[in-house]
Amino acid sequence: MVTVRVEDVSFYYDRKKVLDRINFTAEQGEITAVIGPNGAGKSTLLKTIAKIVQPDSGEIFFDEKRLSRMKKEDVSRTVSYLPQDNVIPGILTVFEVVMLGRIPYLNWRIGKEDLKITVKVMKELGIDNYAKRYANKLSGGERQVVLVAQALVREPEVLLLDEPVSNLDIRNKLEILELIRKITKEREMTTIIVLHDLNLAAMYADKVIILSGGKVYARGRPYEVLNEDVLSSVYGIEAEVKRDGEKIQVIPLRPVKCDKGRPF
Amino acid sequence: METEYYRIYKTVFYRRIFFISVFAVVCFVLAVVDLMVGPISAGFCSVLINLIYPQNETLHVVIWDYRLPWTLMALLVGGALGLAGLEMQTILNNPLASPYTLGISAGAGFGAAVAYVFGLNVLPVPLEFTVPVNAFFFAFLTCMLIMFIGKIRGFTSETLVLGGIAIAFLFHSMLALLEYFASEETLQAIVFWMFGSLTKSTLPKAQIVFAVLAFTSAALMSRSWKITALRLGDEKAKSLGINVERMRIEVLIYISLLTSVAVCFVGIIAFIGLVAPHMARILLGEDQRFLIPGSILCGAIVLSAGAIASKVIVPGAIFPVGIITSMIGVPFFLLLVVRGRKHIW
Repeated sequence: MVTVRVEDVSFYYDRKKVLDRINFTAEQGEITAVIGPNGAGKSTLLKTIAKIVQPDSGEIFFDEKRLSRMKKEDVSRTVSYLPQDNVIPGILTVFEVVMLGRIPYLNWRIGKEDLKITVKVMKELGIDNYAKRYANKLSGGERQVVLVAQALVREPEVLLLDEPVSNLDIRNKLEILELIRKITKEREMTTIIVLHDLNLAAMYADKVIILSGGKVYARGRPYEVLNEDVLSSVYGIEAEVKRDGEKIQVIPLRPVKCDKGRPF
Repeated sequence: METEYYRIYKTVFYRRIFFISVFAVVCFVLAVVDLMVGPISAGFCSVLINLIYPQNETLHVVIWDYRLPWTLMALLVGGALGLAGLEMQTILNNPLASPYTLGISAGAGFGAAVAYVFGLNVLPVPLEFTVPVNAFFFAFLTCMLIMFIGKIRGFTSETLVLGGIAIAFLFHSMLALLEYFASEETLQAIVFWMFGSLTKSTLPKAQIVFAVLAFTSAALMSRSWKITALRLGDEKAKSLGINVERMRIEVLIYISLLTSVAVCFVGIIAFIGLVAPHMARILLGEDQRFLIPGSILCGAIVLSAGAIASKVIVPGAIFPVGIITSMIGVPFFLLLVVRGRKHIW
């Protein structure tokens, strides 16, 4: 298993600085939540770690390996990335959708090992009953679990999830995040997850990175970094943060009126 | 328990192999029927005998010089257009895509018209090949133009579709201009070429289409997982270690070859590139390992059926096959859409 170290990473999009000298470390067996307002650079950060986009400066390390020197094929065997917008093509069974996650390993003829791992992951996630159903006929929650299974079937060392629960009801959100936490601990994966819901981030993340305007505004344990001042500065909201030991609950109250417009 | 899932997978695998075998059998039957029908009708046995040995001199000549090249060309061109349509839909992630969409057929049409109107030849080839070579050249040129646009703006499906549509309109209007100035006989020749017809097929031409189809399908089959991954979206495909832009360029080159070589010999045959992949998809799913042979065979089936119908609708006359394929294919396709699965894309 690997530790992900992001060092001084900057990225420009159309001359606009989207990421500005980002530094943090995500440890194995931990969930690191990336939070921040829209346009803060959260998704771009995940894409740089998945090597989908190249940073303009800085370096990302998987343990001591430089990501920039790794081949795309090697990265795809180390990292699984679940993007924000997921597509499930028309006529594919759940089994096939999950198995497509193993594309970096698949030969023309699918081996028993690939089938074995696919079945194992589906059982772990409790979707083995759906194996023969068509994936596009599943509910939103079921579909999301299938996509998480697709990400896990590659047996990644680093799992990157971009808003994996944003369109789901609260039960599905909790179920999927419980599952991600369980698997992260069991497999000692390094999981980096983009979340919008601050309470979910506080509940499930071991560490939180708060991005604002492409910069790391704060990082640390959720109870250390999530407070009224940070929420006011980063999100431009007035909020109450209730504390019970290391547990915290964020209650948003109202947007802060700013003379200079929105704070981001 | 793994054994149970392995069995499920094997069931699906062999079901798809079964459908592909059925397609192949249908192709064979249609090919035989195609050899049998025509102004001189012949029974199955006499066709078979005269294919091997000239028992009846006239029938032997008819079969070897006319029917066999037409039949083979129908199968091969149908297969090439089916495959080109499949890959076009896949790389553009668009169910409406076909060689028509990107203006490749329009380019070919313009090339043929240039040959007919001005007698201009882009390459020094025998007179017989002037029209096909021009059509091939302009069809390929269209693809290069699309790739040039992609190079500037990025190889996204939106850029390619919009660039292709613009180029299609450009070639259509230039073609209309040529038709406007063309003499009556030339205009007739252009219009007839645009209908799409198998009547100028020869065995050497069929061999050329076969070589291109064999080469491209082998190349695409070897990349079948990577191409399947494109249907998961660009970001997911990239995260699976696939160089999406390079893959699009490669597949676009194969599509260019397939379409150019198919339309240059038989003219413009619409509909097959659109419908054959969907027919295959309904029965075989999204897995390109099966979809590639499936689309080739479905394309061959539609064009072969069209070729037969073009000979039997009016006894003694041969209709341009391009007119017939849509007529017989659309009802069948609509039946699959209405009675088949709800989500085919």
